[in-house]
Amino acid sequence: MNVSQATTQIGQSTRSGLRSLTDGWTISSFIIAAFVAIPILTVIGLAISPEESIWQHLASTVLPRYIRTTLGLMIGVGVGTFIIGVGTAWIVTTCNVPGRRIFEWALLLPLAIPAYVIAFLYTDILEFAGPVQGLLRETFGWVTPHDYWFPEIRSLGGAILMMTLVLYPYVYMLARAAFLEQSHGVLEVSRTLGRGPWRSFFNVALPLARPAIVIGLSLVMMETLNDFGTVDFFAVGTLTLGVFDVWMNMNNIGGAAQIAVLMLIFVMFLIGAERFARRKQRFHHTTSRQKSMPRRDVTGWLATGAFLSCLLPLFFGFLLPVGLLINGALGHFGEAIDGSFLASAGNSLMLSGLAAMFALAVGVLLAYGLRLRGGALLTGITRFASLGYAIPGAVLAIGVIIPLAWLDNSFDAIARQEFGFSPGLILSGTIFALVFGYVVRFLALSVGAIEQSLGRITLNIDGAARTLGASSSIILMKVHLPIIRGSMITAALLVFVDGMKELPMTIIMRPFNFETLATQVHQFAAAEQFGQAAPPALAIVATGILPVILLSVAITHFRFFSGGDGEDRG
Amino acid sequence: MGLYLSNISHRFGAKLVINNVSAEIPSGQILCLLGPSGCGKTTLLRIAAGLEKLQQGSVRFSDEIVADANTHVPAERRGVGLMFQDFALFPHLNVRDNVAFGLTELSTADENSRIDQVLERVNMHDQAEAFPHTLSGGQQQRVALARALAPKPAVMLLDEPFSGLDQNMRVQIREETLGILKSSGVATLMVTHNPDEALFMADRMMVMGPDGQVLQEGLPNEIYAKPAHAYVAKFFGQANSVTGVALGGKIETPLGTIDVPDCRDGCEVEAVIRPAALVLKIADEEPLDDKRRRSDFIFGHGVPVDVISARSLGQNTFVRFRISGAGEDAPDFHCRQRGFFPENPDAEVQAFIRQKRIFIYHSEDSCQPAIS
Repeated sequence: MNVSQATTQIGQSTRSGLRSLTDGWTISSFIIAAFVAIPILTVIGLAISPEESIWQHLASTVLPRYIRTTLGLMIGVGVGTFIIGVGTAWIVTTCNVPGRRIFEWALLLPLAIPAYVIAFLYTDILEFAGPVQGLLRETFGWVTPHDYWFPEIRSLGGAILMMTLVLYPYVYMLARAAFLEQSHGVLEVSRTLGRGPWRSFFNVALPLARPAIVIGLSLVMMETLNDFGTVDFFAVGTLTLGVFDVWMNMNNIGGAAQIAVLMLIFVMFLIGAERFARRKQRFHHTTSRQKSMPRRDVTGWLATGAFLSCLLPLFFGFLLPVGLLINGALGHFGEAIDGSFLASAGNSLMLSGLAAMFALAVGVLLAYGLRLRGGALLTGITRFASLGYAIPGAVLAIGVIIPLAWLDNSFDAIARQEFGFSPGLILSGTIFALVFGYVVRFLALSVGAIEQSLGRITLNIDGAARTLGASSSIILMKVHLPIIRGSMITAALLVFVDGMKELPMTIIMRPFNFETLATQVHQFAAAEQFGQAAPPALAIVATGILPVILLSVAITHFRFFSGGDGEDRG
Repeated sequence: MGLYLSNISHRFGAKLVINNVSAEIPSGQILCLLGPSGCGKTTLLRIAAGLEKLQQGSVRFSDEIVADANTHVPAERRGVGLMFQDFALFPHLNVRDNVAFGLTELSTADENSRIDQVLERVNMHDQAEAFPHTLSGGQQQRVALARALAPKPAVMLLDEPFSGLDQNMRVQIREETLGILKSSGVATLMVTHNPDEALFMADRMMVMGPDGQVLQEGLPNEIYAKPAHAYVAKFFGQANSVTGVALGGKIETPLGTIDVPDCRDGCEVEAVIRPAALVLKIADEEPLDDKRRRSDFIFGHGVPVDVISARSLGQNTFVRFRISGAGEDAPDFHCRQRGFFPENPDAEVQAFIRQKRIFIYHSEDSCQPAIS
């Protein structure tokens, strides 16, 4: 999940003129935005409402450990993704490393693999009974675990490694885009002023790319905070795991909510860092003249080093895991095609498909509403409603379940009183809750993509259509939607794929006995049936590759077909 | 049919961008609104089109009020043709479909014949199937014009229609555009910041100041020859400006004495001198005879000056100079000298003023017109 959120500024003056003409749109965008904001508001509401508190109990027992582990995990993953992401981005933008054209897009591929998938794959090969240790024992004649030391994969360090391997592409992607946008002139100036390539990198290129890197890192940490599968499998006690533990095992939703509130503090810090960096980014744009950076030829050990620096993350983050998955899936081909796989694949497709559809519709409505009217209130509530991407699924699940359960219970009570029967849980116990949760969590992807591509269409296009006799809705249908069709497909696809991977919300909110590919992977992995976990995991990875391809096309041709001339937002 | 704007004022927040502007444009006439960037001229256009809501005043198309305190006919029902600076062609539609966009009420046959007709008129018939991004700037401009004219609007609004074009193309396109607008007989309001374009296109012209008020309205050459305001005079190209206090119908300036017959003693006077109104003379060349003086309207005696730079413009030379003996901080002046002028003249150079080409302004606060 990601895709930079469009913060395109459209001239206030020109926008205000369309205001009075568009109240229908404004009202519906407002209602939708408010509706989507409910879960986030609920969680915040819990934070400030005093309830029966297990706070003290938590604080005196597990909480310090949760916090320490979470911080450790975030810092570890942050450092790891920074080194790999920035390093590889710099190498492929400035050096003629062998295979550069392939690395440019291939380095994004690990994004297709959820951390919980890579976690069980590496556990399978690195644990005591796995092939690696087996080979070592055979080679050196060791027999028991006491004969030698081998790092334990199921640990905080292991979780950091797993998440780093699949999350570094966020940093890579944004850092590379930033390096590409830097005018080469600035670097040349630095060289002529007497700084060598290394010092130019640290003194000029890196500081200029800092906002982009900060955005990348905050996205990485949001994902880290969101992760449930890996930390559960490795038994690394983070706050997310805490929410699950307190809710599912202790059956205390109030306590879970209180941990969730604590996580919101982390989230607010990350959102703050991201927003701050995005604001700064505008000033870090050097020139509008794009001159592609001439690449340095590297030879000898430097070339080998650069090549390996790019190959290793790709190998361990994608090639090896996919190889293992294919191998595992082939071994369990028969079981793969059995009923449970097909059923969960069908469930995944349906959930993700519905979520993509709704997120797209809501995204178009909100983004077009903003374009037509803007205004502080609507802008504010739309931004707020799209905060879901930053909020861990476990926390958001609480925000979805509580209001839906309240609605269900009220409705149930009324029905029993008036009609003498119980309709059961209509919203909270069905896939409605899940789809709603997905939409809230992934809405930023669709609003961002659509807003960005609408922002590239000059407002004069609206003016031209209007003076030629078209109303707001006709303009949307006949002009805007056809122009932004590509971005709409991208937006829907991004939501779809994230829906396929989604684990924490699905585990919490799914109806009884309702399996998706992700929950199946999680269950088989937890039961150490790695072979059975392979087919559904492979299916998730296969769909996950699609948006990576789209992203890699976008990153290579970062100037899109845009509406109108003269409108050059770079 | 025609376009009538009365007493329009408009604010963005606290800033007044249009200050009580009125304009009448009968059918077939082109009114050019000339003004600096950000003076509110585009806003006036958008108000006329209905894209911006009117705050004060009224907009009439012929006898029909389309906007006043109680009325707001939305843009899609006004039937104006609007052409944008960036042309705003629909990128997903080809030339033909762009032109067809506004033709919703015609039968297919009528629609097709109308499209053919306008594309023929702007000479774009051969590119009817092309998409906008494949066209040159000039071709895009023609399509934008055709698209705006296709529904036969009674009012055309042009927003900097030529500024997206390169210099060579501009001259040709604006002549074509003028012909097309004239032959379609629409009332046209065009806004531009380019005085050459305004002079060329306008039947009548309005000059707007930076505060959103109209400084002068009239025939184009009238405004050029008799700018009513120092700001207007300076708007037609880089001009020199000198100030002085009137005494005995004259002011003393660094460039010499200038006649200000209408000003009382004590008036603060500004004289705007266009570059062509200053003549430089190298001392050892033959002296100015009376005939040359008369033909150049040269007045008074020359002032010795030092040439700072002289750059050729082809037919003319652009010379920047400073009064001899004045310090480095003293203001410099510039002029266009016919033919060649040396950058390092061997002898003393003198500057003369062509009295008839200077414009004299005095602020109303500092003095009243002389009582005759």
